[in-house]
Amino acid sequence: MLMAQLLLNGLALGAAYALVALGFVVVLNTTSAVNFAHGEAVMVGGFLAVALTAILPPALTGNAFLLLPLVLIAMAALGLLLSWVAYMPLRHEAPTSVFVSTIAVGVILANGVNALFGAAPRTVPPLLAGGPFTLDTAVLGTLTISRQSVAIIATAILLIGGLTLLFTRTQLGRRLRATAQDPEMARAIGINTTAMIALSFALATALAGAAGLLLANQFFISPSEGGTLMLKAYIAVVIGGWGSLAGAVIGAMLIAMFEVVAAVWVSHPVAEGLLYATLFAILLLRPRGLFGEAAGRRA
Amino acid sequence: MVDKLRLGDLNRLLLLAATIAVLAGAVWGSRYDQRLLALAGVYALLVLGYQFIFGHAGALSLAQGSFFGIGAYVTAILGTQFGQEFTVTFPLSILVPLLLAALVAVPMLRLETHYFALATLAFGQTVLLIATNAEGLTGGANGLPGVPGVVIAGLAIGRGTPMLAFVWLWVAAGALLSWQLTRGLYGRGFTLLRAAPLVAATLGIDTAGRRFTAFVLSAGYAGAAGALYAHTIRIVSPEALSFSIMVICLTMTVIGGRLQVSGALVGALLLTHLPEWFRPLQEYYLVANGGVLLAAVLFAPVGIAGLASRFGSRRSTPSAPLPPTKPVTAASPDGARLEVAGVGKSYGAIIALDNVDLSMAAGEVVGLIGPNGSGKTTLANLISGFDRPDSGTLALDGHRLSRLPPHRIARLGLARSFQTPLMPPGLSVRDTVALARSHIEGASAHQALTDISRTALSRAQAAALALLHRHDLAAYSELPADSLPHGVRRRIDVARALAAEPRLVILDEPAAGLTEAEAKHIATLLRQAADAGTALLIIEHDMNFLLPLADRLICLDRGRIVATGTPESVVKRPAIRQAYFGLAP
Amino acid sequence: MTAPLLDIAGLSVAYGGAPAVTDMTLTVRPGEIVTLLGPNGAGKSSLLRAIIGLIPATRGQITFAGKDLLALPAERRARRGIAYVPEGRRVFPGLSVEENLAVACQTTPSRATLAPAFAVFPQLSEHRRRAAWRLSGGQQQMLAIGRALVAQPRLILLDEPSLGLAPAIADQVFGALVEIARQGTAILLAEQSAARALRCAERGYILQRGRILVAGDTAALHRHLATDSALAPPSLPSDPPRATP
Repeated sequence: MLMAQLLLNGLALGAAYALVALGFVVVLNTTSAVNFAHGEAVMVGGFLAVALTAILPPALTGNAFLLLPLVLIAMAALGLLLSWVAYMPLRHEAPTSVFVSTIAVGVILANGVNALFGAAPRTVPPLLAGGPFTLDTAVLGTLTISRQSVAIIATAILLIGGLTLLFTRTQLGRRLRATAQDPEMARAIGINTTAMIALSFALATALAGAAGLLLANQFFISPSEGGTLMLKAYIAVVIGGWGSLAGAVIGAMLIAMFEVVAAVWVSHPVAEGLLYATLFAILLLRPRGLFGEAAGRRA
Repeated sequence: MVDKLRLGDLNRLLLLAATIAVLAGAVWGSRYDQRLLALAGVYALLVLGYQFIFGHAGALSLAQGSFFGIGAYVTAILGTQFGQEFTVTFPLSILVPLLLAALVAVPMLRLETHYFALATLAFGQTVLLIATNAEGLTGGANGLPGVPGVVIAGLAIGRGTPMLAFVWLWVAAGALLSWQLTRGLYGRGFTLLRAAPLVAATLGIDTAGRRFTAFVLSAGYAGAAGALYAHTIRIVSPEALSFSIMVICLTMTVIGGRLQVSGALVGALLLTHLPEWFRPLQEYYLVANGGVLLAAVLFAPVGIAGLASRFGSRRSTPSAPLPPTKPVTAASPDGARLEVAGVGKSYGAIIALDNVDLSMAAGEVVGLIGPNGSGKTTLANLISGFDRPDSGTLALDGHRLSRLPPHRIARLGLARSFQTPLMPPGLSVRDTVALARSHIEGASAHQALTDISRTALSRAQAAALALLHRHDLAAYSELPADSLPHGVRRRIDVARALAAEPRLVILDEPAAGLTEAEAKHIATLLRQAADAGTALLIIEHDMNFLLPLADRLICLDRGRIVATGTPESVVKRPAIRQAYFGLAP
Repeated sequence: MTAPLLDIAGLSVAYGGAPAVTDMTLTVRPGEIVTLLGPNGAGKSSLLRAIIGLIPATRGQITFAGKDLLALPAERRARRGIAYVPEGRRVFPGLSVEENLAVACQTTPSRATLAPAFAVFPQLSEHRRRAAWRLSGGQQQMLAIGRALVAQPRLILLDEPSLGLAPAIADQVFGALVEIARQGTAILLAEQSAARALRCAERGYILQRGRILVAGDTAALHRHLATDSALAPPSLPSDPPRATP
């Protein structure tokens, strides 16, 4: 039963990491740019919820479902700003320029939040509080299921499914991917690439906001959290295969399972060491990640 | 613009400014200023090293901070626990990261872009984990305080001005080494390696070897910087291995400039002092710091030194032109024999080549035709080593090819051109062609170190110019190759393939996109090469071009050879007329 | 005579700081195939890129169906009914064959809207789900042309469409172009291989160093190509230059 409980906890943590990784992949698939400010955007989403809880009347903020739309809208606006400031001016430069510009934005966000809120970890209201659900956790035999975990897993599944459909089945999704692969040719076939890029940043940052809101309740959130989250998302995306949505989710699950399950039997550092060893092994056997078959080139 | 690696006038000014800043600090600065300047020197050395792997080799390594930390720990452990002096600790601080880099490089350098970045990141996290948990050796999270100052043969280098001078002496030495290594033919090869590694390999440039050298060098520099860091701040804790050091190093490199020595110095000086200037903003100073970083990368995405060379570089003129080591003939006098026997290759369910046999004699011109997707380019890729056959053997003059990497096959005398001619950005036509002479004129790292007057570069450029004259391309020699029209790029590609005196040349659609006049000109040059002994394998759809040129024609269809013989006999066969030319049989 | 669909007057274009097209004036009418001939660097590609809007014009006018084009960004020009097939294929490598075609549709893509591409290139339908980068060079060229066809444009700009195609396929492409033009689509065709282009075009222009050298029907172009020494092979140095200057 312990195993089942651990798997469940791992699943919830993995879903949270997957939510972080998803927004990162969305920008990646539209711009080929690595947005290192994404982790900080997740953190900002969490603190935005903290701030809204403080200013709005409690009737509105006791339930995170009511906060969610506000956070999504504000974060989408932040995403637009991010694309306009840190990506658009550099779209014709080497990709590493965007690393640095987004790192700089990350520094601004992390230290800005730190100056405004202080370094202490914060928490926000859960999704689905009160109402017909009076218990925060349900007990199933010896298995404890927290409602927030269920909410995180459900949201993750919903968003992953939605994004997969968007990218593979819709004309908008194809346009987003075409923009990433050859922006000049995309324009020549009638795609407004500037709009596509702005849209993907808005979408990705809104996703980051949702992730921040969910994470901040379950795991707390502090201004320095962004970097750690980014690292996890980055690892998830690479082992899953650069740019693959499904791969990113599986990568996120793998990391979370390692953290939760391995830490029971071995000390935390050894568990982390094992994670990196596994990472090396995966890269040695599959140099393009588990599901990676990103666009190659014929000679 | 054409010649970014050269130190332009503005970059000299940057170097001068950096020198003056350091000298002024040494003479007038407070203790605090001097310590800050010494730290700037430490970072400058770190960045100079990082430029090899990140700038020149173009690989995003995230392990540079870790090699720095390892260097610092080696100095701290040997200094505090074993009482060793600088003369022992410093070389070991360089050697340990260098050897570690060599060890991990073999599996890691196979990885591409982000996979490589992640592997280096995981390496760094592992090292950090060990340092934090091996408390007996490293002092755990508290680190190792009381690292001794620099003592050489009993002579102590004091804090303040002496230490500042000492650090910057090493920076100067590192800068000189880096400059000498990268300013010649060897350095220019990196431009091609970054932009088109496949092309670099077909020109005999050992891309994997170069990446290895760059990675190991960068680790050595990082180790030296780490050692000096330990001596400067006198305590080494897991902080030295943290990812923030890596981020600082990356930002300094991007803001200073990826390729120029002056960029490393300016980036390090600027970014160590930036937080100091914003101290009055109190808790918002780091926000302002981020703002300036953002502004810097927006206004100078190529870095300050990169910007300086854009505006400041003079028209590059070759120094006294030297004759090439071997005279430029269209081909080497002895052609090679190619033997392809029973070769098969499939990609998933699609069979690209099926039991293909082909043998070519020296000086023979073989035309390879066939419908689109019939396996022509696949065959070229197998011969040049980009891909391995599933079955069968390939041999050039008796050398088995199937296990050799592309650059080794190129050095056996194979050259090739590509369906889409790839020209690296920022190189002149002359240098683009000159790079094909790399392995003839001698452009290895150790040759670059001793080639003070850049003779390899001059010789290769002279050879390239002679060849460009012959190919009627001399008018373009100073223009950046990547900005030229498609057809001109194709002619440059053919010239480049012939520049290394190859014994077998594979040309993938050399006449595509050329006017009839241009195609005739190329045909004449190719005929001359063949008459001199070079074997030519030409993939082409243009029969007006191919029929008069080829001695023999081979037609592939769905991966099989369906016809072979004299051009006249092959094109007359009913099956070929119908399937390939779409004519009545 | 119908009014021109594309009307270019006094157009100049600079590329990489150097003038690529100087004071060019030309027209294309609906349903007409007009060819641009000339050596490399004559300005053919730059002209096409300026029409679709990937490089800016420095002076002059481009009018398409009576509307000024120069004020519009490239994507708006494409949506007005101009399709562009660039040199060097430029398919979207990570998209499948079907996705490459679908993304270029100006209306909702369906089996019917993609049909024109598969009709001209049956070979492509064998690879519908294959990622474009896995196709051979010639197949990618087919895909690039197919991408233009499914957009149902009023004008197609073609830069070296026969590049890399086997002769049978190249003939098939030119046959298809004639058919498309018969249905009313105008085609502006830049080609090095004059023979094939002149067989399907009605008239054209010979370009040299960014200017129009000759304008006229195919017979006039043929006459000019037969006599002009500037377009004849460059003379070979009889004695190769010595390596030492």
